[in-house]
Amino acid sequence: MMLDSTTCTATAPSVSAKHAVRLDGIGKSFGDVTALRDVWLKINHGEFLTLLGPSGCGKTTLLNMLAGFLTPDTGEVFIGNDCVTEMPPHQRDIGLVFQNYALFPHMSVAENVAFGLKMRKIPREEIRRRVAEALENVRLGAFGDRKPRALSGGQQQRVALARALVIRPRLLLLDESLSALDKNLRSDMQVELKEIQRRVGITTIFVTHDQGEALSLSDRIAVMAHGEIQQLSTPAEMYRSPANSFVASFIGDINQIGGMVERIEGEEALLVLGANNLRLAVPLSRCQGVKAGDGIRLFVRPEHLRLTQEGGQLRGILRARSYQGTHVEAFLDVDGADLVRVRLNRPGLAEALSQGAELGLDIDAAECLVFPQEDKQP
Amino acid sequence: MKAKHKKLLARTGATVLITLILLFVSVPSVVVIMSAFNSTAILSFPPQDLSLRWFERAVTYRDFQRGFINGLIVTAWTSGIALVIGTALAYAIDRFQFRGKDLLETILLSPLVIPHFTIGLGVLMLASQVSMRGSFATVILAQVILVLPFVLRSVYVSLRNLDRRYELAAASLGASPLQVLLRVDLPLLLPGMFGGWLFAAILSFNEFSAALFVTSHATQTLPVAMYTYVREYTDPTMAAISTIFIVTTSITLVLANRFLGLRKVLAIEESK
Ligand SMILES: Nc1ncnc2c1ncn2[C@@H]1O[C@H](COP(=O)(O)OP(=O)(O)OP(=O)(O)O)[C@@H](O)[C@H]1O
Ligand SMILES: [Mg+2]
Repeated sequence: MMLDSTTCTATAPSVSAKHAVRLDGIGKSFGDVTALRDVWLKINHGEFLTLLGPSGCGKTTLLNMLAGFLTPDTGEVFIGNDCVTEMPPHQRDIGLVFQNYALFPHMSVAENVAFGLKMRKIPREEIRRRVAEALENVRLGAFGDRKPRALSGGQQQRVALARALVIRPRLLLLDESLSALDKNLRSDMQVELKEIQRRVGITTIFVTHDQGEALSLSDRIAVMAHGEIQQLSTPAEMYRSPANSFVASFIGDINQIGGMVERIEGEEALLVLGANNLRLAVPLSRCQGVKAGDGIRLFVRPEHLRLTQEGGQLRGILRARSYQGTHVEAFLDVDGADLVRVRLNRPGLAEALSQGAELGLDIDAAECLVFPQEDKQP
Repeated sequence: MKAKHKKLLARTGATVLITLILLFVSVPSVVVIMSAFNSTAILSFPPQDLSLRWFERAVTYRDFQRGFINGLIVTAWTSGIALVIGTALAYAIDRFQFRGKDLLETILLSPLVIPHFTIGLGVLMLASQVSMRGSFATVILAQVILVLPFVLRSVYVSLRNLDRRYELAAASLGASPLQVLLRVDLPLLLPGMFGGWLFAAILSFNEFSAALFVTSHATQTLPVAMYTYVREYTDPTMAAISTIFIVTTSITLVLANRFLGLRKVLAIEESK
């Protein structure tokens, strides 16, 4: 039996599915707009996967396909062993949490949580027990009789989570579920969500356009742009080795300096950078598809630049600095680059600097990334 | 200082204007209500002595009693039928694409375009064809046509305000489309449906011009009975029954407002 075939045939139930979710070549257009383009994705059991990308890149469309609200134009959707491409939403056993929670306003908190169980015709006694358990699980045991609008945003969020989890779904989908919360509550909820998710062990797909949230919560991140998955990897790998210049500039802060490849020598590419023709040798493993004579862009994160008073590989004028608590960020005007952002871990040094001072920068070449000049910038 | 002055002037002006408008609007009602308590048999204003005899006559007069009962029958059927059809049509217009939808929407959502007496006349002519002149069915048919737009509009506005994510959430929790309709949509649309129904009921009970065409002596509603009465007698009985009308309608609206909010009842909440 071919588990990886793209036809919509259910595998025998005795064979346990290799992946919790599998998307095989999903495509979807709305009129002229291509929302998804040939998306292939495999999600492991119990994995916390985040879909990250700018507005309009197709995250919600992808989620709607998993939930059954949309049918793909091409490709198949598998949940466990079942091909669910054409299955209506109410048969899919999926937990869903929206950004605005969508708690039923005409039902109490307990009735909201009980809804999915009632639909499953579960005996009343068991419903009562499981609702109490679910509310306890999100620390809202005492709130069952309240109406949703009498709860704070964070509490509503937890009710929505309890309502989705109480049916013991095969898959949990969260669409920008934390975006409506203020910053403090949001980081509390992130911790709580992750904790509950791990405890329940449920496969989770989380949609956000907040890269910080994605980095801190996910087992793996899928960065999307223009309806395509640009990169699928762990947060650490995504941060250190972005697959293309789009991912590089989308995840975390990063500086860009234009230049060209002078020649390739052994395991290193020799670059000529900026207006002052700085020469820099970068390991080939950090270069993507470049050859001698190509125009390139060098990407380097603020923490991989070292500020010096004298010397330095690049020289620039200090334009601004901002105090960030744990560190200070300095912005330098370097010829041939946008304002370069540098991270200083010794605030003492920053204070000694005055605006307009000319300073040097040393680049940690082993941490740089080099992409072709013409790399697609979605 | 000057700006403050201007503001004060504007506010006083607005108050005076609003008071005048309210007076202007309520003067006829006030005149009628006061003359209802007149002791003499002449329909006059201001009243000479106070008395309740015209109220007594109004509630004991056979035609008014019958008109009242007929009115209740017609109103109950009319508002009920209009509620069912109006809700179904509003749902269809909101959710489905079909040919002639725009035309239907325009006609049904803009009452007032076709005069009541036109509908009365039309229904009368149709009823004559099938020899159903003056039957309750005929009266109810005419009234349903009249009040349908109001129910439709009220439910339609509620539907537009309904967040579709409630339906998606319910579906994801395992509710079939029918269950979504019954357990999520219907409860959330209830205030709008009730508002539309109430409006239809009040309109139908008060409606005159169409009813004049389609009722017979046996099925005449209260407004028609009142009209017939006025043509024969001119005593304050009319004023008394008008007063009862005004008071009953006001109480109904106040109660509806109290429990539902007038905005919802009149469906003047526009979609978000
Ligand atoms: N029902 C629809 N009709 C027409 N176009 C649509 C529809 N739904 C989505 N689109 C388009 O498809 C593209 C992807 O939309 P989608 O909602 O999936 O984006 P998203 O990644 O969720 O964005 P956001 O972060 O803003 O929520 C967008 O260009 C959008 O305009
Ligand atoms: Mg979205």
